[in-house]
Amino acid sequence: MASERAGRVFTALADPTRREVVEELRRRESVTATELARAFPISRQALAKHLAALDAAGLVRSERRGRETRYSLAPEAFGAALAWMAEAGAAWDGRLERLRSAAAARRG
Amino acid sequence: VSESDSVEREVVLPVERDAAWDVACEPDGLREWLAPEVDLDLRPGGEGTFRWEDGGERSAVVESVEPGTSIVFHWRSPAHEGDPVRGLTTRVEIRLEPVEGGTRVSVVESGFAGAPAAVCRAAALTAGWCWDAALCSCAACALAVA
Repeated sequence: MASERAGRVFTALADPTRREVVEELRRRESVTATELARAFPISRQALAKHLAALDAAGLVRSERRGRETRYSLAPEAFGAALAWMAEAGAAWDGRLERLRSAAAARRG
Repeated sequence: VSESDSVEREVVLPVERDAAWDVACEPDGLREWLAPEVDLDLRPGGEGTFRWEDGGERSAVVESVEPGTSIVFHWRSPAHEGDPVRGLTTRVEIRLEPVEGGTRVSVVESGFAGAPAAVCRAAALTAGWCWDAALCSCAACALAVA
């Protein structure tokens, strides 16, 4: 379900540090936790945890290269979040179609 | 993607305004299209509940009623775990207007900017409008970071 996936996206993005990590990833093609730690005032270990959370939400892709894991942004995951936003509109499309049918049925 | 924080839809019903009101706004009519179970005290301040087949439920409070013309209520979305808008209350306005061939029913659901800032930011990022919501002029971002 798009809404469940979007829910994971929003949950992952609810953390301000993770939003900053995503912002940083938009500027670079890929990073390791070690490289990222140079740009953030928190430990490499803490960043590795944030990257893992973003990975679990599908917001970043991870690729192991030798001893390090490189992370890059997965833009398609943000599309799932948008899809969820469109669901509110789609729900009304369905409801108003039923309303049209109900009005026609009442008219006989 | 709309830059406003509302969803707007409309439909033209092939019936006169009174008949449109009955089906579009009265609880008996609402049961035929909005939710199978509707318990709504249709007067300002009146409370109500909408229930769906899938177990979904929303509680509502009526803001205003103009017989034959409009109803406005606020409803609260379900509190599913992991739901980004759990507990979010949005405002629904259903308005009737006579047009050629029948009655236009327009619906405006607004208040999505009350969702967590992350929702807005994710949408903003996806749509490429902005990343830093503080620099963004869209209404949703402005409200979300307020």
